[in-house]
Amino acid sequence: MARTGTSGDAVAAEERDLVEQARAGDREALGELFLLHAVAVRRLLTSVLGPTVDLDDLIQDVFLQVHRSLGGFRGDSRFGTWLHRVTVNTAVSHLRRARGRPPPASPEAIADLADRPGSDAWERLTGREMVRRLYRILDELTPRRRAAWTLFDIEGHSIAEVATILGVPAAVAKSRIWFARREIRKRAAGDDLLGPLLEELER
Amino acid sequence: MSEPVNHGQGELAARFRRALHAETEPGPARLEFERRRLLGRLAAEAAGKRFPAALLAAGLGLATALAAAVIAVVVVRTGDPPPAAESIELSGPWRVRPGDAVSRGAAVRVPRGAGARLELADGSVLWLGPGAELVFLDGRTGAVRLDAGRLLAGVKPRPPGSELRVVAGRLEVVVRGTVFSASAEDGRSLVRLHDGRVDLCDGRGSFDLRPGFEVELSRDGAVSLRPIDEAGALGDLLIAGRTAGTNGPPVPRIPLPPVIDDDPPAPAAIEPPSPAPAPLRRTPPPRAAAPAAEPLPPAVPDETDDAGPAPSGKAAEAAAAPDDLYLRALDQARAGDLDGSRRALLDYLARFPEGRYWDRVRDILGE
Repeated sequence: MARTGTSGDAVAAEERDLVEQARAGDREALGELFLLHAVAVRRLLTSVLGPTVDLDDLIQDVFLQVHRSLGGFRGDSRFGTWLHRVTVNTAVSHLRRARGRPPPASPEAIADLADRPGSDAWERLTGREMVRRLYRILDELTPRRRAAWTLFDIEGHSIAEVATILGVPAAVAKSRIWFARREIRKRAAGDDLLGPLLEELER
Repeated sequence: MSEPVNHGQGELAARFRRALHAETEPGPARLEFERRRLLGRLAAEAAGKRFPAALLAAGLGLATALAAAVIAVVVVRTGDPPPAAESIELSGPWRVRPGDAVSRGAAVRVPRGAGARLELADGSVLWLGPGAELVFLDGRTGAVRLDAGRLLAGVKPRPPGSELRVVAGRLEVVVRGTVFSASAEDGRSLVRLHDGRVDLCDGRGSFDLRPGFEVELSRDGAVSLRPIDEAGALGDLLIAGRTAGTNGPPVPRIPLPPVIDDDPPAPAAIEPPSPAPAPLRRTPPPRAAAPAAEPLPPAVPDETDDAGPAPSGKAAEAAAAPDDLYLRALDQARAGDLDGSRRALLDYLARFPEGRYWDRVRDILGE
């Protein structure tokens, strides 16, 4: 997220200034915050939701919500952490509204590619197949458990960070992850692609 | 945003993440385009062209004023000769006055952020939520089609052959006298039954729905049956609350179930799951004595907190504050103060975008 040639401290100071200006109603400042954080927001939305065509609109929704709620942000926590929470809540809300939508179309069958493992194309396609299969399972989870699990096992955050982002006690975050893992393992049982992947993600 | 810790590494995990984020990085031109689009939307909100953004930005005073301004009553005279089909937008009492007739083929559209109430000749009442679109299919028997938005109905008992028929998306509700709600959105249909009895048809068959349950028909045809939760019940109450007045019909009695938390007690550790799974009995969220001004914990806790109990002190107070506001809204609705409940929920939406019930609150308000 840091701009080339700018030190971390300078970026942090610039961000604080931008947040203050945006709180004061400066829309251009919010536009600058958008440029600083849009990629991270997109990445987090992708982790929780999986590949989706609605990403650009959802990112806009996140920053519109930031605009509406910045008045309640006093700066006791980092803006990035607060933005993480707004992003996850937007994703969870999207999941609740999207219940029952059909899963994305299946890409090429992985079985057809089994005879040429190791190639770049094979790796790309198995990667896409893993994504497809895993998010089809995640679609069966409650949005809250899904968010907790993706933050922990895909994004690699600690329990404490997951708890902070979700705004819940650590024990609750841990509970959500534990139950999500159990449900995912159960649904992925016998899947020779997801089994090894889950072992690595949960390691 | 904090960087990920060294967790979940491996060749397969890396390949998975590469595939997942293959299209994550937009170029500078795309970012600039999206920034300008965002500024355009912000400018539109500031100009009051969109709802509920303008409402949220303006705060509760505007919300109250607007709610008071949208009371609209339409009386449908069954038996009247059907005039030509018409389309009416219920944007306020200035355009549709009590006594106006609506008949077969007429369409009623409620703007975003508004509400409407329709009283049928037999005393039945249809409350329409924001964004609702309702078409009268047959004024004589009261057959209506809900094309979008939400509807709450209090239907007087009707004899066989004179049932009210409500088509919500691909679900048809046949009503003999009951309190129920229906919604149709994005190809999804949902019916909640609060009292009485309805027959539901989805084109493949029909069945009875018991009070206290809701049925959802997804866009791909999947049917789900589940108990009504507190958010669904409160959302339905507030549909009626938007147009409740001293001269209007009473708001139906809709029981509000207790809050169900999705989070059962945590096991001692994530790995291994050696203890028996925690019971699925859910517990209500904690109440706080007074709402805190700062909705976020002050900082990311230390990693060593992982095995510890719930946060205490300021962090716990901050986490409980939005919960308390949500519970207060429920209490106010139980006490009949629907305006107060709605104000509390709007307050929650504006102040606690990171609150655990934020998405529920948005659904309740139908914004």
